[in-house]
Amino acid sequence: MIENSLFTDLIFYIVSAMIISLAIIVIFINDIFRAAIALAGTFLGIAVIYFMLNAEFIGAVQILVYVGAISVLMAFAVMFLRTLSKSATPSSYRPFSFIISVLVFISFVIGIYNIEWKTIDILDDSNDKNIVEALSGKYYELGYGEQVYISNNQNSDSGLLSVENEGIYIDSTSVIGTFLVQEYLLAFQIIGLILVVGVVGGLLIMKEPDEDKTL
Amino acid sequence: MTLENLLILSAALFSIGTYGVLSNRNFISIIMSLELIFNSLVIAGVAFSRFILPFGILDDGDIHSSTLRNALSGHMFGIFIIAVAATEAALALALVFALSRVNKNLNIENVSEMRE
Repeated sequence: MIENSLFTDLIFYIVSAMIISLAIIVIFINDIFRAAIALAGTFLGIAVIYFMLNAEFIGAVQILVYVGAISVLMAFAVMFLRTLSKSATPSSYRPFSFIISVLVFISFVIGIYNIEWKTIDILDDSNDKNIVEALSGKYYELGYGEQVYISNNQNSDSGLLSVENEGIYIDSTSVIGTFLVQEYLLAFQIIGLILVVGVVGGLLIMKEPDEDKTL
Repeated sequence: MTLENLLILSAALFSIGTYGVLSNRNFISIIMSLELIFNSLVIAGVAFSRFILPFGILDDGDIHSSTLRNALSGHMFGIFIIAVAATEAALALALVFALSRVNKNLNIENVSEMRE
C-alpha cells in the first residue's frame, strides 16, 4: 500500500547521502560560519525526508522553525562571536569519543535489524479493506462525540452523523489539529509556557549587567 | 525507503551528533551537534508513525476513530521536540553571549563559575 518505486528510493538515497555528509561537515569543519551554513542544508534535507513520509505539517514546521529561525539565529551568533571561536582548541578526548559514537551506531544497527517490526505491510488489500482505505484513501466517521466509528461507506440510512475524511496518511494536518485541542491539550499548554519562560529567560541572561560584573 | 533505512539514517545522525558533543570544546559547535541529535529523534518518530501498525487496529469489530488517529502520535512528538529544541537553542545562545562577555572566549572548559 506504500508506493515504493525505484524513483522514491533513488531520491531517498541521494537526500540521505546529502544529510549525512553535511552533518559530518558540521562536526569537522573549523570555520563555524561554514558549519552553520552546512547545518541549514542538513535541516533542509531532513524536511525533504518528512515530505516523502507524507508528514507535510512537520515538514513545513521544520522549514519554518529550523531553516528559517534557528539557522539564522546560529548565523547571527557566529557572526558576532567569530573572532572568539578561534581560541577554542579541539578536545583531547577525540579518539575516546570516536569509539563511543561508533559503538552507539553499531548497537543501534544491531538492534534495528534484529527486531521484528510490526509494520503496515502485513495489511492485506482484500481482507483489511476498511483499514487500508482509512489510512491511504477515503473514509467516513459515523456517530457523535466519544462514539465515533470509522467505515468505508456512507451508511446514510443508519441515522448517524456521517463525516467524510481523507485517509490519515494523505491529510495528516487535520488529525494534528484535532490532537492539539483534544488528546494533547495539556502538553500543548505546557509547551506554550515553556516558550514564554525560555524567551523571557533568554532576554534576562543576554541583558548587559549594569554595575556588578558578576554575570 | 523502508523503516529500517529511515532508522539507520536516524542512528547515523545521532552518532554524528554524539561525536560532535563529546569531542568539541567550542560552545556553538556543541549546540549545533545537539540540534542534529534532536532532528534524528524527530526522524525516528515520524518514521515509526508512518510504518508501524497502530495499536488495536486489527481487533475484530468496529474501529474507533481515535484508534485510527493514534497512528499519527509520532507527529505530535515531533512537534513537541521541535518546540523544545527551539527554546533550547535560543536560551543556549543567550548563555553563549553572556559567558563570552565574561570569559572573552568560547572554550567550554573555562566555564567554571558554577563549580566554585
